[in-house]
Amino acid sequence: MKLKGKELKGKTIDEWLKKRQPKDFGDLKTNYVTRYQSLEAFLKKDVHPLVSLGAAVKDGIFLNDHGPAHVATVIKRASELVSSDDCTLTSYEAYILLAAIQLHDIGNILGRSGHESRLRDLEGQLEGLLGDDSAEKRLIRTIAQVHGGSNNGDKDTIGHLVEDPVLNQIVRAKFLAGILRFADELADDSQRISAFAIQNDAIPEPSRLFHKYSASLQSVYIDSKGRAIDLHYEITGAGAQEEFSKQGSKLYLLDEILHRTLKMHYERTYCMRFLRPTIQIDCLNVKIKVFKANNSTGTLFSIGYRLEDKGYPTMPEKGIYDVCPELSTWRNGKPLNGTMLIEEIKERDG
Amino acid sequence: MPHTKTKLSELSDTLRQRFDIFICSASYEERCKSIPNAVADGGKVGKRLVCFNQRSSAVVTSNARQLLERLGSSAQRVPLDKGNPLATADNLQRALSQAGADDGDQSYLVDITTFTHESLLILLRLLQARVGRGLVLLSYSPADEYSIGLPDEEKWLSKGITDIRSVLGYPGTTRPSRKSHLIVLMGFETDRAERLLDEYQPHVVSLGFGKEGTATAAKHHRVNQLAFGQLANKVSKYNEFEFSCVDVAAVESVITAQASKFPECNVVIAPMNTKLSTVGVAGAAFRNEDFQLCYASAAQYNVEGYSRPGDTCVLTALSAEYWKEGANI
Amino acid sequence: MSPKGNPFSVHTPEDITASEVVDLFVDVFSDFYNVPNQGNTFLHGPRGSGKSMMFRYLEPDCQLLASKQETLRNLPFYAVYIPIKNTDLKLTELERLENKHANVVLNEHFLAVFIAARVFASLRDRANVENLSTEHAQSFALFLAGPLGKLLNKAGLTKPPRSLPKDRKISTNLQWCIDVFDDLCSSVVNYLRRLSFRRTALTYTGPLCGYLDFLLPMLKELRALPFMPRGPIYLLLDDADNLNETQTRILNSWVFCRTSADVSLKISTQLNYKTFRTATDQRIDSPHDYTEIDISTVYASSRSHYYGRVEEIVRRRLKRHQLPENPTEFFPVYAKQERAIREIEASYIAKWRETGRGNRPRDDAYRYARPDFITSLSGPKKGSSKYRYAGFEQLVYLSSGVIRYFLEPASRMYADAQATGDGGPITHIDSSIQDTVIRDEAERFMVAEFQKLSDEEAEPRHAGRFLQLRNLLHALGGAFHEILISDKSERRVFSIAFSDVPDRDVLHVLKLGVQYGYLHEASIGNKEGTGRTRMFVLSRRLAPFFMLDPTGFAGYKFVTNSAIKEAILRPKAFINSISNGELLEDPPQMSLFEQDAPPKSDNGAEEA
Repeated sequence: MKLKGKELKGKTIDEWLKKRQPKDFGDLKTNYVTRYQSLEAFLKKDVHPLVSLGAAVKDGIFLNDHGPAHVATVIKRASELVSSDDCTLTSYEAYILLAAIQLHDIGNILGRSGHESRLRDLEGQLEGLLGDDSAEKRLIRTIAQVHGGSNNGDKDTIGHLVEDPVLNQIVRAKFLAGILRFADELADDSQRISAFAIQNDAIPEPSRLFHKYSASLQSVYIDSKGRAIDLHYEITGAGAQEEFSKQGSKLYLLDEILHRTLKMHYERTYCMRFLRPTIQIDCLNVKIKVFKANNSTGTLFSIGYRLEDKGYPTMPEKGIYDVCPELSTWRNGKPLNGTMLIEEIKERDG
Repeated sequence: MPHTKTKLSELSDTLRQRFDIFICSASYEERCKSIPNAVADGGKVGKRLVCFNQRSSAVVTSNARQLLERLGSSAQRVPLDKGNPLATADNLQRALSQAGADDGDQSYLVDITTFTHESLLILLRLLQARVGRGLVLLSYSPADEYSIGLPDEEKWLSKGITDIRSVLGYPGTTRPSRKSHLIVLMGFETDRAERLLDEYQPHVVSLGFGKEGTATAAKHHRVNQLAFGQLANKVSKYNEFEFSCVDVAAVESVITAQASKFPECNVVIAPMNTKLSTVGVAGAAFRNEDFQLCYASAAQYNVEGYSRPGDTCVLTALSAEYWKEGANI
Repeated sequence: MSPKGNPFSVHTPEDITASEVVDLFVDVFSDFYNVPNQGNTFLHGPRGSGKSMMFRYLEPDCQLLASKQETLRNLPFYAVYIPIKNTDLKLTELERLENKHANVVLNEHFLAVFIAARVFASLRDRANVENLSTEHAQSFALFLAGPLGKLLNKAGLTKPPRSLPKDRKISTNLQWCIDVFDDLCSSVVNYLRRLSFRRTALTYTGPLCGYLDFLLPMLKELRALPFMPRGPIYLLLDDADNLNETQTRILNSWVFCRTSADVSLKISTQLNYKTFRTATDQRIDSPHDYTEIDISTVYASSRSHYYGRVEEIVRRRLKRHQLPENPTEFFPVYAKQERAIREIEASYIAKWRETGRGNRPRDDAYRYARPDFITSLSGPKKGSSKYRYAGFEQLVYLSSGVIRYFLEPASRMYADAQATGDGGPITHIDSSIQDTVIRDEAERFMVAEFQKLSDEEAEPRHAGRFLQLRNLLHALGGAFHEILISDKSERRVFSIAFSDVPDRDVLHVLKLGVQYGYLHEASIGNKEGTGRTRMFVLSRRLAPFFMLDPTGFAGYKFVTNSAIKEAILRPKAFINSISNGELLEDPPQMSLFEQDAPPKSDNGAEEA
């Protein structure tokens, strides 16, 4: 049984999965719907509510929401991405994707930095809820892990995923990982914040900017037909003037919006490598509405821009050495160029 | 395990019971027809499975066709693949299932004469999972002469090796920290054995040759001794042992004893002598999961003059004990 | 007391002691300098070309002895020798996983734990760790309980089958590690055993160790221990051809990771490596992912180095057996033959001014004397004498850049000399014995070995590649012999270079020849001088079979793809064409004597 994106019609992948019967999973004997529901219930009750708390205790940061609401948003975004005309998922792939989404941020319990790769450090009941087969569990964990971080310094975590059938099932690991990663990137909107905490200035300085950013992102609309994503932000006059600290620098909310939309653009470019041709998003349309105050009805003005692949790639500043850093220290720390080549030939020739 | 020798012409009368399933293998050797011809009529066998290598010479296909015709309507063809042991195993499994082997308690008469060592070993593993209380009787038709017409020192059965692989169902136990012990049951093929030694470069080499008096004919023993000598000259260090060419239990015992002389080694066994001795090796592997069996597939066979059939047949009944799995040594 | 036995026996390097290795090993790393340096390296060469010996020499026990160091810490790297035997990892059962269940993940786990077991076995057997201080032993115990325990836990081994040893002795702890990884390997095989006759996937519930998430971090932690060398760990994977395709791709994925600052992969192959693609289908390439060395190509193009290496190897072996140490005296030439050749040389020198072709008097003597002598033996009036392939220099040339092809015949010669001798010590090998053995070897290589490879078909047009290769070798060998006995200016020819592009079928046949050692591949400047073209060199091991002169520099001829096709289909017609001066073209004019100069050699001992 396959999920056809165009037939989702506003429903989410997990709503679709929960209606599946065991026979929809082919030769697989396990009841994956039951398994998913058990996993979801356990995490919702015992883990997700503690994720932000863990990060706060470990790193002293006040994370925006990483709990059940955030997971639900990621699922929603993933469902919207999958709703394209050409996209299909097998029942098994749907299970794998949803399980990975449920797990992807729980490593934050042990601290924010490197949380993606901390899944394996979490033991206990979780192990049993993912079933018995080690390869299947590893697949879910790996897809969850590659939503961020790096592999031995290499940020291309999805590119190195191996596509290996599991229990006789073909699973497009890179495709699923791309969906999760991009959906997570798009799930940083105003539903993640604690409005109460913001209103009462309860969020410590290092974390305030992230909460304000999330608060400003009002909607994310995935236009599959138009191959675009519309991001709507709202800023008030007061909000625009507020100064924040980030990594030792001072900046404003708009600066953060510009930075984050650029990051989203790069994530889009990266993830599309693994999502094309079934899911095709070519650009991000950003609209920022500026209001005088929270209770103003009309906008002062709007800012709009589009992030897309266009123009001719610019030559990097250091030329080839920016693209291939190893050439900058080719021999004895010196860069490869014509002069160095002649010297090397002379030396080898004796 | 008792074995009896009988004339092929008297085979049907010698068989004291009817066997539910008869299994044989077509080959380029005329010997492949000896036992099937002897049992085709006489009502002593029920379902008949004719195995043959589907990627082999035209002679094999032709002999397979003849066997199917000879064995009548209850004969079923079972294609094997000398380059693909998984296909061989799957086809054998399917054929056994269709013949009712999964019901257990079937009795089997197996003509092991012209199976390759590898497919015989795979068949034995499959039977091990299916044999209940039914009898398994092995029949083997010795050749009157191998490598027809050539003097002893020039006899050849095969040349070169295309592949060396572990036999499906006998992976052994890999303990990487240990050294390797290669046990070769020499036949006539010095070349293949030499290549095996070259490939494995084992820490310990045990070379076995057929015990005098146990070969199916004295002249075969002479050729075996010659081949053994040729190989021994090329190997700087090895351990020697003798084994019976026909007594399955005795072979198992000797192999187990030889392996236990070097308990700290991973054991790889290459059975290259008679099919009966290979059955003994399989028994040793059943009892000792640590034993890996390997097979070197030949590049070229002496198809034209491989063997001349004899007129006798050796029968060996495999007891219930034979099929038992044992603890690792 | 000298060791007994044959001084030229070929031993498995794995089994010989460090002192023997250091005694016998001739430092070839100036020829293969990437091997002991940090970085991933592929080392290709036929069996017997010295790869395993190089790897053995890099192991810590040999390195400690050779560099006269006492502690591991002072070594530049720690090398773990990992021989891969044919059916160690390439189990038939693994094919059941393909396209079904966790093929890559399980194969990677198998490979990783296999290597881990060898790492700890190396520490136990090759690293002299018994003499470590208590503090160092303690650091290892902490490594077990700490980082290694965590990694095993993360991999899914929540409860190791064996509890940690209570004492802090390093030998006990090492054995614990070895046992754990041996057990992990065994459990993979046990899982595979259950798969043998299944056609559907089977759940695997054991741990899973990969390179990036287990092996690499484990090796990094090991490297950080206070008694380990500061440099990287080298994993020396010997005979990686014995991996299946999935395992090969996995290994390539490890190379792709470029972690050589911590772990460098040194991978040897017998020119039969299955693929250079990774598990994600990317290609690894030289030189950015790895450096690559083909031993036979290095020595085919650098004969003087090879000669020197063989000379030193033979000298050491003779010394170890307390035999006369001079290789040229131990393997003397056939004096009568050499005298005759010297006479011909003298006549060339004498008439150089009038009829000389070369730039200097000795040029013609060097070029033509020996070929003339061989020609004189093959005419219609030939007597009972034939050319003898004897003398150390000839034997070195005949071994064609692979040390084994010197040592194995030498071993046979020694055995024959013992058999025919009076029981006293062997002081030299008679030239007749040398010649007999060498001819026998050539015959075996060209006839008997070939027969083993041949397909069952007999028709050349439809024949398998081996039959085509055999035709080609006969054609080339015969052609080169015709050139040798002709009056051409360049008569010592061993190679062909393509003046056009060889097609796929022709290339297949040539590549097969390279794979089985009948040919070497190289490249040379093309005819037009605008680039390079492929060149194929006939193995000098075949020289006695085709009555060729194996010594000294040999030239090459340009040939077209269609000419080689002719050689493959109709070798006799090809040879006839060559006799008529057709099909082969000389390379552009150059001073042949600016290329590899022949090694200087003394005349051998005079025979009675």
